[in-house]
Amino acid sequence: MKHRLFLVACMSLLSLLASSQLIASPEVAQSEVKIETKSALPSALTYLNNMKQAYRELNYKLLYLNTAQNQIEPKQLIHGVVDGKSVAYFYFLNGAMRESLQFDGKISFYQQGSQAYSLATNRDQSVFANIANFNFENGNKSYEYIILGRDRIAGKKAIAIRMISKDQYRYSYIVWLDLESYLPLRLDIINQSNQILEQTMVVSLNISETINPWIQQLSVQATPDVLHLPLTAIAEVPKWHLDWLPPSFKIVKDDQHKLMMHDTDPVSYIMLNDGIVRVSVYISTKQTKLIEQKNVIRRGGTLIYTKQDENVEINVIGEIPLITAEKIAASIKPSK
Amino acid sequence: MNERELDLQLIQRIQNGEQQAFALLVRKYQTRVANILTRYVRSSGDIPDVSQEVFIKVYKSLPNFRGDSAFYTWLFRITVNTAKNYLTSQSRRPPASDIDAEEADSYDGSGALKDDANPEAILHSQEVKQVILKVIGDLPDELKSAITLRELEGMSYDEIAQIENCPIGTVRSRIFRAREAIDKQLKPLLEN
Amino acid sequence: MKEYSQDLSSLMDNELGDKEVINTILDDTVLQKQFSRYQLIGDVLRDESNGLDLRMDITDNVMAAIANEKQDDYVAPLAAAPEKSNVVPFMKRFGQYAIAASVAGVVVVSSLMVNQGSSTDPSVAPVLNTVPFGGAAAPVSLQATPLQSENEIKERNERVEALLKDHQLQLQTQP
Repeated sequence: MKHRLFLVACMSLLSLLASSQLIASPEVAQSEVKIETKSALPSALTYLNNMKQAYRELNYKLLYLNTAQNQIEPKQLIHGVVDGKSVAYFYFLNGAMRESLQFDGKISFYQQGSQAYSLATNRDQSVFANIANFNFENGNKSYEYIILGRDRIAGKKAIAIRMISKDQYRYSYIVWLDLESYLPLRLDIINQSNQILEQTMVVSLNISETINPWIQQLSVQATPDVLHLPLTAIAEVPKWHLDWLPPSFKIVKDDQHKLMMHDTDPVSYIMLNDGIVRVSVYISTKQTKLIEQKNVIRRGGTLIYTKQDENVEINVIGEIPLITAEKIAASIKPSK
Repeated sequence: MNERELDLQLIQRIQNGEQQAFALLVRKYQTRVANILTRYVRSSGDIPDVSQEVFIKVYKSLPNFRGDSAFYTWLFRITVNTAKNYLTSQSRRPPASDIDAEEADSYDGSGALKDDANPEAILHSQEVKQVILKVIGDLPDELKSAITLRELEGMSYDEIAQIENCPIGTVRSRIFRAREAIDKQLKPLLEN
Repeated sequence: MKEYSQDLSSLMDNELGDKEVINTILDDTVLQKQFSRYQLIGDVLRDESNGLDLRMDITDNVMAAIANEKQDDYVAPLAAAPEKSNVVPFMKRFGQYAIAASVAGVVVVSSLMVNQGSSTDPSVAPVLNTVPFGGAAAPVSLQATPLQSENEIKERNERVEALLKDHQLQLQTQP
């Protein structure tokens, strides 16, 4: 019975790869996903929890490609642990120098030709963090975890686990883990038609016993000033609330502020989070002209949904299916 | 003023493949690098080797120099790192009074004498200093003040021209004449 | 000779941007040694030479050593040392376009704006690269039409970009 389930899962993985809109790399498309047969193997949940621990506790360097809509962006992440605290250094390998360093409650951004700055944050912002820090036990209300089988990624033996959304309001994921270290090696975001919307693929993984001396050194460097995103307590910005939330989503931010680039436009802002995905909802009176009253822009897994009614413009942004954005937007009501 | 910044002019040439331009960077900074190293490298006989290692590292990683911090700050950091590596390889601990990279520009290098300081070299360097101070002392006032404002206060020609109330061209020539006079006495001292 | 000496002096003070002068110096060892001595004068005056053997000159050794060295294709770059004295007021900083472009993910938008021409997919609208749902046709387009002027499109694009950047910033600072 179990055996059969794996087989089905594997088949769907293969067909998924074949139907993918992405340029799947040939090795991946051709490599056979071997079927798990031994019953004594750890469960998907155990693997996922191992990943969680490895991602936080190991010293490693990842070179990876981020692919969305035919665009590939190579990036690097170096992670290490200093006195029990994570240091993560991230940067873009192509184009202008863009790099960031996260350590000790702060993330600092450096970019060629512009002033460096820091933001206060206690959440890991690195590439696989949203998945790797998920509370998988509680998460089984939203996702089902299934081992798809073995594969080879970045020269490492890997195991593929599918996180299948239990409802239509969120995407599914397939995550590949290194069988030795349990570090994530690949992550695909998948919609209901089994298309890969976005893919992150490690091409080189380097694990070391001790922290990379260079990031250790960065961790003691002074960081640029922390900027605080200012709120505007403007009386004329009306307050709003949501009548409906997608299952397992919670409101984690609810404020009024000005858009950073257009500091003349106050917006009401609500952020939703289900432990993996963060959704921003903007409600404003500012309108830019649209032909249609609803508008959808997508890039990889990210959706920007705009809806205009009379004097109100609602924008919903996040890695969610359109239906979720539509339902959120439709549920917005003025607060009394 | 940016296009006159010598470091940047040289770095640009090196980045364009003109390796020879690196010689001027070495000439410009070798004393300062050696001076930083004296805080870490106790055996003065090792300073030329470690200095050389610093400059080779600088050359190799120059493609990554981004120009958003001063070249000297960057060089300073590489120098300190190289010195620490040297200490590790000599299995000695880095000095507790570590210097922060940000202090690079203000750091004064009045380091303690080394374990095995070469007395002859020390005498020589004292002699060089006395000769330079003597020549400056004998210079006409306007040359003396121009070279001092430039070398000790780090002022630009423009700033000196405003203080001295004279054209920039005059500042240019006064500083040069002061250097020329000093160099006349200095040159024989440095030739073996 | 003498005129180059004065140029040499100005050059080391960052007061000369003359390519020819640098070319001449690079070709002339006498001038180079003079450059070293001029530099040494300042180092000695600033007490940056205490206890050093001032006759030491590693230039030739370094140049010989690097002659065979290849420059690194990739060395982990050093993060910029933040300049304390150079604090830009908050709003001014955020007014700049550059700000969120460094926030991971915002590339999404920039590439959306920049790469429209390179798309090989004929169904993709030229102004905003959009993907239809479920493979359906009729991609959402912000292409100029009689109903919408180019200015309005530009405004809309800027608005979307501002929203996305704000979204990214909010993600970074999520409690």
